[in-house]
Amino acid sequence: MTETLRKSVSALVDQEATEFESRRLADSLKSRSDLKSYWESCHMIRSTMLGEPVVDRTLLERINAELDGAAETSAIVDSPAVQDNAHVTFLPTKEPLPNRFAALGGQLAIAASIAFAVVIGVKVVAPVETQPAVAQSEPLEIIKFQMPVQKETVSVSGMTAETTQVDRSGPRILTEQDMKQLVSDRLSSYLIRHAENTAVVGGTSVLPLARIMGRDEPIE
Amino acid sequence: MVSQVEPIGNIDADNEQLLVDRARLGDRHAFDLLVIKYQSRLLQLVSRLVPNQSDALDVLQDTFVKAYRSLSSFRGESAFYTWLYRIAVNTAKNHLIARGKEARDLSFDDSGQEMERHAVFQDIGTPDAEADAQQLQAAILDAIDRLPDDLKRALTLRELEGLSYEDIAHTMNCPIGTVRSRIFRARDQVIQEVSLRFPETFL
Repeated sequence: MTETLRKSVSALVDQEATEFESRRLADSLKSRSDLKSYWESCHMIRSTMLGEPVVDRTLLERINAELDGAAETSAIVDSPAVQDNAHVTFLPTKEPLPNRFAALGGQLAIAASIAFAVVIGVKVVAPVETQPAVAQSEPLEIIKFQMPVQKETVSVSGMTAETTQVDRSGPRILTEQDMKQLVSDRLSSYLIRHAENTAVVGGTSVLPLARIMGRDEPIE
Repeated sequence: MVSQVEPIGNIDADNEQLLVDRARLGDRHAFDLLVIKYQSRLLQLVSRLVPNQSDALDVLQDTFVKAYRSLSSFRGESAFYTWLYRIAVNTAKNHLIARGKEARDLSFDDSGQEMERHAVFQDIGTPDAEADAQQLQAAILDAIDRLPDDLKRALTLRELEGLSYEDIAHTMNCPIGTVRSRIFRARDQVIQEVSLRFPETFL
């Protein structure tokens, strides 16, 4: 340690150091342990001259050990190794309450604004009431292929009865004619239902110029 | 030959405040300097309240630990030693209450000077440590006694009378820089001499 540095320590002991000296010494404390030793010696001289008890160096070690113990505890909790441990559960860091309330309030305000705009938009753009007849109409039927039935006449001891017997001979392959017939029937059914709904509501039909008639049979 | 003129520059009236500020920011080295500075003075105080030497050291340790953890509450409205003094007295009283003893009725002012002036010197520690401490103190006093007169006088005015460098300069009729240099040379000479006899204890 240079004489200049020792002189600065001596002045700092007496609180007579310049601001520059004080800051330089304070900055050098971490890297120079001899500064602390010289500081301790200067104060030991003072304590001896004043008749104060000499304190063993172990006191400072004990103080630092206790403070380090607390610091190590917090360091262990903060260390990534412990945070990766599955046995330790860390609560998420919570924002201060005012910030959380402010964020929640903002979200609610945005949601309310969107809902208001949607309601107003529906009122202005689509003022026509929903058509109840259409809404209450039957759901569209799924095309069902019904197994063909076979009629036959049974005669038992003079009595004649016509029975209906379901063909359980297994699935029957539909011909092209059968498919055309099924499609034609279903299409006719749709057209008739559409015409009925249009008549009830009084609105304009989607197919204003279409003739409502079945392919095979006229509408009654 | 001591230089007669030495620029002092802008003297910071409260060098200690810098250490306190650093310690408040978590600088343990700065806090170590504060502990070293006040440990003997506080031990003398605590030893009057807690006669058991081992307990007195425990109280002193607790005092500094509490002080470090409470540094954020130190607002600088009083001197740092006054703040430490109150913590030490409260810690000692709590220690006595916990031990079932009745704390002495202490009256003290903020500076704590009154009680310390009448403090009785007590060596702290085991008999061996006590003997070592006595030898060390004797060696320090012997080294001071052998200092040149100008150095010894400057050091005595500073340590025993508590005069500032400026007041010592007026008393000794010399520049402040000379006072500063004399006090440093006195300390440095004592440290070098005693460290030869106590290399592990001193410096």
